Amino acid sequence: MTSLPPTLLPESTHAQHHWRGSARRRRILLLVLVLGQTLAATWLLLAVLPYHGRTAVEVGIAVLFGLLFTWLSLGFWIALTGFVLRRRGGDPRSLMRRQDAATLAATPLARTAIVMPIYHEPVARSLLGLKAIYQSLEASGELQHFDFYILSDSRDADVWLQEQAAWQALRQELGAQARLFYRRRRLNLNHKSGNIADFLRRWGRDYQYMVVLDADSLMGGDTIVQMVQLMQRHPQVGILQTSPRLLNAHSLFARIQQFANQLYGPLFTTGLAAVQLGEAAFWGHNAILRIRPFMQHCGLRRLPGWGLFKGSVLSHDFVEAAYMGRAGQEVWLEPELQASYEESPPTLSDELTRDRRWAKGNLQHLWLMLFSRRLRVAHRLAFLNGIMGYLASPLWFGFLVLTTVEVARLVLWPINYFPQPNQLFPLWPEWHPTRALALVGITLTLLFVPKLLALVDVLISGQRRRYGGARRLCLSVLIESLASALLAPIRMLAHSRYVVEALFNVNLRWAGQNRSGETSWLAAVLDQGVGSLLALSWSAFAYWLQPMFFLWSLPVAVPLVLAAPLFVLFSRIGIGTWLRDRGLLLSPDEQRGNTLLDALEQPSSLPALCERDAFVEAVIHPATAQLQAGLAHAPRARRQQQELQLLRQRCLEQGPEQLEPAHKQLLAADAESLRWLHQQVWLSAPQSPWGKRLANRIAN
Amino acid sequence: MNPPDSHVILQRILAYWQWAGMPLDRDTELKALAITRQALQQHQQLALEVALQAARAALPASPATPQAGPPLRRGSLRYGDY
Repeated sequence: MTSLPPTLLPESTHAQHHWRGSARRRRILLLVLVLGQTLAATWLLLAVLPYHGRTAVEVGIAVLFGLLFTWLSLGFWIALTGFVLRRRGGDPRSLMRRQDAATLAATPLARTAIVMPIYHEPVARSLLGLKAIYQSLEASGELQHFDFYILSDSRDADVWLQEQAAWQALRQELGAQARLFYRRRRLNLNHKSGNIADFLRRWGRDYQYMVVLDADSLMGGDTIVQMVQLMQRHPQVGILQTSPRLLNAHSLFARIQQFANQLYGPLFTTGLAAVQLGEAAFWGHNAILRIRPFMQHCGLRRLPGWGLFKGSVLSHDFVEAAYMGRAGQEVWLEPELQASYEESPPTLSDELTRDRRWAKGNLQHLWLMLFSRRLRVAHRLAFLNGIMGYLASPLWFGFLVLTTVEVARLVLWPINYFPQPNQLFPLWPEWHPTRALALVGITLTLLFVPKLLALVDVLISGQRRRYGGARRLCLSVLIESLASALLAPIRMLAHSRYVVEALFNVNLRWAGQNRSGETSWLAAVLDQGVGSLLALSWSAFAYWLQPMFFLWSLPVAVPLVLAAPLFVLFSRIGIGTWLRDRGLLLSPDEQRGNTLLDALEQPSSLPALCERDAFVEAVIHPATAQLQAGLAHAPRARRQQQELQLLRQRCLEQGPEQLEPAHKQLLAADAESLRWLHQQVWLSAPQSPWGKRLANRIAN
Repeated sequence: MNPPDSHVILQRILAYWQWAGMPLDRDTELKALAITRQALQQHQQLALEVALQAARAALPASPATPQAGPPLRRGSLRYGDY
């Protein structure tokens, strides 16, 4: 460990604990505001309902409304907190404000590993991102403190061979032979957390910190250096999480997400960080972790329950933050750390595929929230927050179902003047349209005021030009608001399905995230057809029941009916580009330029290398063949040798396309097979499958 | 000498050298021609094999396979209670 000079000694215990009092006060205030607002809104709802909550259906409606409103209110107050703090120049309790810039800059660094776990990710994009980070750190002059690890869990031979070839090319491009490493697990137990754990068991003791990246992460060298310095100055901090901004978006969907993230994100993260302070959550990437306590306290046992609550922990990051907190370490979210980026899923379809995994992972936290010992209350609430992120959807769905039942009862059944047993006086059902409109107004306020606050924040802080000017910025907010209103019911229905699947413990395929491509019409119709039919039936029923109810149903029903065209439309890169060219949905990074993004576009051998068939290259190309054989397994046991001999003979005679993926994996993982194939292919007859392939490769 | 065979042999030798990192100039091309001619004259049936062996032997010693990771420094993760 690098020792700090006396002038740079870490902060006192008093300062360490000072934030706890602030956290308590802020959380109590937030609780009072949220509960007060929710109770008032629920009271208003009861006043709106015909029987004022005296039937079972109305009690259900009121309960679901209360839960959903709590969720909305929480977001509203957090955004408002963020707005106030940003207007006042930032949170004085944040980690960044504990020392001046000069003191922080003078803090010595310590050995840090930068790890990028990957699993069937687009290889060129992932490694070009790592290259940009490497070069940025090199430019900061502090590269000597950092090592880089690509941690692969890829199972497809073509992907891992491509990763290995690209890794070697990148090492040569950067001259990073002693600093950029590659590790592929042969057995990918426990997904990403298992991959990180494998790294820590092998090399964790060599480093004091590790910066965890996602495959699409980009981070500035100066930001990473600052993070290490903050960790050095605050030894009680176990995890320091940055707030990654979205960038590099092309499709309409991704550009909307990017715009929303860049415009509204700072308000929400500043507010969230102010409430959480030293008990924040870990989001799994773009964060720095103190390795020693992590290794001592954050091994994840398999869940001992039943169904969903049995087996490995799927969403590991929140759990690791909670365990760090239990071990006495602080976890901070620091929104003021700039130059931390990730990419949005390119399409709604990709986002929902990801959400399916996350929904299951977050619901699994229910067990940990209820039964884990000695966790901090704030971290239990973080679990609840994550659970509600998905549970809100079936609650909304249930609310719509009960509302429909309520209307159907009023229309189809005779009026019940005595809904409660032993009731002395009749109850006249009432309908107050003005109160209903007031309730809708309050709900819309909670939804849209944070967006307006973010807009005001940008306008009065003189950043409007970064979003293309005031007029274009306002128009972009309108586009984003319309898009989010259209997407909300689609997400609601999909998330409801995922929650049900998770509760029934439906198995999911662990897959890498798609980071490119558009949604086809066929895929969209097949995926969304059932939901659209459901919405159409509900809307028709609503019209048959009561035309006014039909009108109320439209904001939910119309997006669901149009889900398939919306999926296709939002996935289009052309529309995203068209809007960008007209100065709409812009982000500050696009306007002022971004060196990390520019670095992604620099000439490199990686894209061309990754376009080639990696298995064929591993067999044909002398240097690649040597590399791949060197990284493959040593010769196997004798009983496996016989199978491998048959396979490589088949591969030689029929060509690689005739091999099953599993057989290809066996050959690609075996050093002797790769060497043998390399030798034989160069001797193959010109008219054989490999001879023709070799001639083509030479000609090109 | 069978002309297509000589063409294939020469083409493969040059490609092999080029991809192995050897710069192709007039001297190396003449060398490839010599290897091809000699292999065809002396070992007609095994000409390609002999020529490629000679071509590989003419390459400078290839660098060792890069180190995928630094030396291991094993540690363990501790698993706390739920």
